[in-house]
This record gives sequence, structure tokens and C-alpha cells, in this order.
Amino acid sequence: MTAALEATALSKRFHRVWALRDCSVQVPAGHITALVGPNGAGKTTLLNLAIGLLAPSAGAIETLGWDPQRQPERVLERVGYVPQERPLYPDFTVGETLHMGRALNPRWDEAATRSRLLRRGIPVDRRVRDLSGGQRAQVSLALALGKRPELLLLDEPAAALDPLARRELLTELVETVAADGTTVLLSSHLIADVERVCDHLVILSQGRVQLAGDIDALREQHRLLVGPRMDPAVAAADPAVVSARHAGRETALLVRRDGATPPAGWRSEPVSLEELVLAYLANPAAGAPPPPTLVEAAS
Amino acid sequence: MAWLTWRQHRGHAVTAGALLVALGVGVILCLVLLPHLYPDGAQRCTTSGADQSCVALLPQLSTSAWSWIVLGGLLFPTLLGTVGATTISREFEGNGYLLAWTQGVPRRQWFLRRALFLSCGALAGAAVLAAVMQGWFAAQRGAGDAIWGGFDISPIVLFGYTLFALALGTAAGALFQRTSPAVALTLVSYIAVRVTIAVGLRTRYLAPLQASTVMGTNPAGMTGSPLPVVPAGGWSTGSPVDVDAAGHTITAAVWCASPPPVTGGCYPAPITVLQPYQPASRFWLFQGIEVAIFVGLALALFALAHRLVMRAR
Repeated sequence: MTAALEATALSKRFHRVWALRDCSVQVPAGHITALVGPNGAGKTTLLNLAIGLLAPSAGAIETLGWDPQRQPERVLERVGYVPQERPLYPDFTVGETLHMGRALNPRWDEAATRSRLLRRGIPVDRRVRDLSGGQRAQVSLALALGKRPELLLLDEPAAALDPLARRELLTELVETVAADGTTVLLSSHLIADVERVCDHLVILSQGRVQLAGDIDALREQHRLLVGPRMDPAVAAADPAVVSARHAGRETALLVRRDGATPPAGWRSEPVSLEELVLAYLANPAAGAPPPPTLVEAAS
Repeated sequence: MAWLTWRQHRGHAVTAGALLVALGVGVILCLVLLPHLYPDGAQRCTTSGADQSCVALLPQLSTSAWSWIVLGGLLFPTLLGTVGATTISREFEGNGYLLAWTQGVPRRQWFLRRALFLSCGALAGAAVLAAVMQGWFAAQRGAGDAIWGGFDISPIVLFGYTLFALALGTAAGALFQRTSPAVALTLVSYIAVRVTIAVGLRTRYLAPLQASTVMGTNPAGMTGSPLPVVPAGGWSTGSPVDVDAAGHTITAAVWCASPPPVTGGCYPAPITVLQPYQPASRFWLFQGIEVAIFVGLALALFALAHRLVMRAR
């Protein structure tokens, strides 16, 4: 697997708060990877570190094989970024926004960008401030795609869009990736969207990587075990148990399947992506590296 | 980058252009049109007295042209300070930095080219303003204006002030990341620095020359000391000082009759009155020193702004 993005023990601190801590993760090239996690997990921080808007406090990040701080020109011309705020200059027309893209990006694809906006029915002479939220998102995406990026970073691309605009945006994304082999890393709260377009998953929690890998493989590696009610303390103590639900006389455990067969009397079911993600989000300790022991902390 | 800088500042460019055009047209009207309207000029105004409007208008127009030029020379750099104060801060206020710094031009280049293009625009504007002023000065030559009196609106220092104001605004904008406090700080500190240097430092660029008068006797009934005559075009840079024959400063100069009585705080003649001044020949040297100071400050402030931009977020 070649990595489009590789973080090694990456940490970022804002004053006294660690937004990312010892984060090591690889984003595979040529795939659509979802970055999932609760608010404040460090998703935007990771994306900003990847494009070089932020410098790491410790550790390293390589984007397409380059250090975004040392070789920003290499990274910036090959990476498209659509921040959550979808920043555009409101007093520019759409045409002027494209002019800016052309002026600032050596790999700019004017024809494809114009036809993309034409297909979406976005008038080029309209001012950005007069566009709808969905149209603005389309212009932001078109600006990022116009760079002919090798890597596309999208922060909550579907947030604040109506269902139709969301579907159009995601369709656009899948089409482009299929055509150009672009790597995509997108952060999202919407598991349905992730399920529809992504094939890889990174779960980020409290600034650490909790789980990362191919979505199908991750689902294979986990099972939902349903059986007679057990002592919650026993379930919580088992390191293979990601989350446990105790209801009535039944206990449902979402477990990492390490080849062991379930005990007698237990039913084993495949897990959905949503169950998998929610189980990890509900239990931030699961999958995270253990906290440093006193000996390590002292050294 | 040139296009983007222009697109984001074309409102400022239009404002500055309108100011310069208005000033230029006003000066041209005053200087060129007036003699055509009144071909006999001041002579007819003063001798015949037939045309009262001419009498009223001619000096009035000349005075107002002068005050507009002074105003333009003082205001133009502050306009550029405002431009500088918005160029970085506006990116932070509207999240534009997320857009600007994720395009194919790295942040360092983005800042350096922006600073360069704005500086070129500012200096071009200052050149136009300087040309207008020089035109006016040329037409008014011989009017007997003291050359030092126009030091602050002389074309050479104008370039330094303009660049300094632009750099000051840019640094303030990068510091606050908000437009209003950046503009406020820029205007206040621009005026503070200009006044400090004009009042406190300019007289000391070179040690002043001394114009002197030696007084051997006191004409009857005269009190106080007479002022020495500073050569034409010179700039008196301080109060006159009285010294005695031994070269000691006499603080409370009381000029006594000759021969002086011993009591009453009188000093023996002759008294020398010294008036420090900067001669007219140093005017352009002083302009050079002052422009070097302001260009140096501008470069330091651009370096600071660069550092702040590279460390932001």
C-alpha cells in the first residue's frame, strides 16, 4: 500500500491543549478514506497539518511524500482542500474566483472547471455572496478539483447541505475519483455518507487514532455477540470487547474477532459500519494505545 | 498574485487614484487656467483695480492650492497605511486565509509578492503625487518660501513615508488579524513616529552650524540680546545661546553697559550670541537621511509582518 498521507507520532498542541497526540496513521493512495470522530477529536487539525496550514508540535507528517512545512510548493500545488468554512471571497464573481484559481495553481484545469460549474447550473458572472449554500459548496469543490489534485482533503463536505445538494456533491466526488484516481480524505459525521462513498476508515478520538483500515476488513474483524446477560464489569475488563450493551436478560458485545469462536449459547452476527463506528465512539479507550505507565512517564 | 492583489485592492486603488487626479486637476486649473482667464495677471489686478473678482480670486486660489497640496502630502501615506492594515487582517476576518494559503502559491511567496506589488503601487502613487507637488513648486519658484518649511512634503521623503505607512499597516494587520484595531494602531503610531522624528531627531542628523553676533558694547537702553542673522535658506534649530569671551554659556543674559559694573549679574563684553542652524545646502542630505530611516523602518516592519504571517494559526 502506498500512502498518500502518513503521520508518524504526530502531535499538535494549542497553548496547553493537545489537539492531536501521538497520532500515527496512513491514508492509502487511490482510495476514499473517511475521517470520523466526535467534535474536537482533531479531525480539522489533522487536515490543516496535512496541507501545511499548521506546523506539528511534535512528530512528522508527509503529504504525498513531502513535508508540508519544508516543501510547501510541492504539497500545495498537488493537494486540493475544501475547509469546513468553504472560504471564498464574497465580493468576487464565480469567474473571478476561477481567475484566482488559474493565477495561483500551476496545474489548473480551466476547461474542466468551467464545464463542471456549467453542469451544476452555476452562473459564472454571479457574485459569490449571491450564491446559495449548495452552490458555494460546489464552487469550493470545483476550485479544489481545478488544481487537478492528487490528494483531496474535504472537511465535512456535506455539512449544512440539503439532501439533494449532498447527493450531487458526493456523486461529483465519486465520479472524479473514479476518473482521475485521486486520493480523498474526508471528515464526516454522517455515517450514511461514509458508507456510500468511502472504502477506508480512520476513527479519531481525543486526538488519537482509535481505528484505521479498510472498511470491509474492519467489519470482518468485528462481530456482534448476543448471549445471556453477563456481569458488566467482566465485559468491560475484556480487552477484546469494544462496547457492551446490557438489556433485560441479554448482553450484546461488539468484539474484535481474534479467531476465537464465541462461547456456547452466544449468537455471532456481522456488524454494520454504523454499529462499528458508534461502538468505538462510545468507548474512547477502545483501540487507543494504553496510557504511559509510571516508568515510561518518568523516562 | 499580481492579479489577485489588484483585484483585492482595486477599491483602494480607485480611491487613491481619484485623490491624485483631483489634486492634479486642481493644481493644473490653478496654475494653467488662471493666467489664461486673466492674461494680464496680477499686474492688471493690482494696477487697474477694474476686475474685483480677479483681485479676490488670484491669491485665494494660490493659497487653497497650497493647502490642498500639503493635505495631500500628509494624507496620502495614511491612506496607504489603511491599505496595509486591511491586506492581511481581511484574510483572517473572512477566513480568506484558508483559501489563500491552500492554493498553489506557498504562504511565504503569497506574502512577499503581495508586499512587493503593494509597495510598487504605493510608490507609483507617491511618484504621481510628487510630480504634482513639483509642478506646483516649479510654478511658484521665487515666491520666497523657505525650503526647509516644505521638508515634510518634499518628494524624496514622501516615498519613505508612504512605504513606511504601508509596512506599518501590514505589520499591524498581521498582529491583530482584525481590521479596525489594525487601522487605528497604524494611524496613531504613524503620526507618533513622524512627529517624534520630525521634532526630536531631525535637527540632530548633523551637528548644527552656528550663526554668531559679537556684541562689544550695549547700545543705550537696550535689553536682551540681538539675534544673529542666519544665512538665507537656513533653518534655525533652537534658541539662541549667549556665551562670554571665555566660551561659557551665559544663562540669564543681561546685557550691561560698557565698561560693565561688577555687580548685578552683568558679564564683561564682548558677548557672543550663537544661533544654531542647518544651512540650505544640507537640505537634500537631510532628505536622504530621513528617507533612509523610514525605508529602514519599513523593511523591519515588513520582516515582522512576514514572521507573523508565517507563524499564524
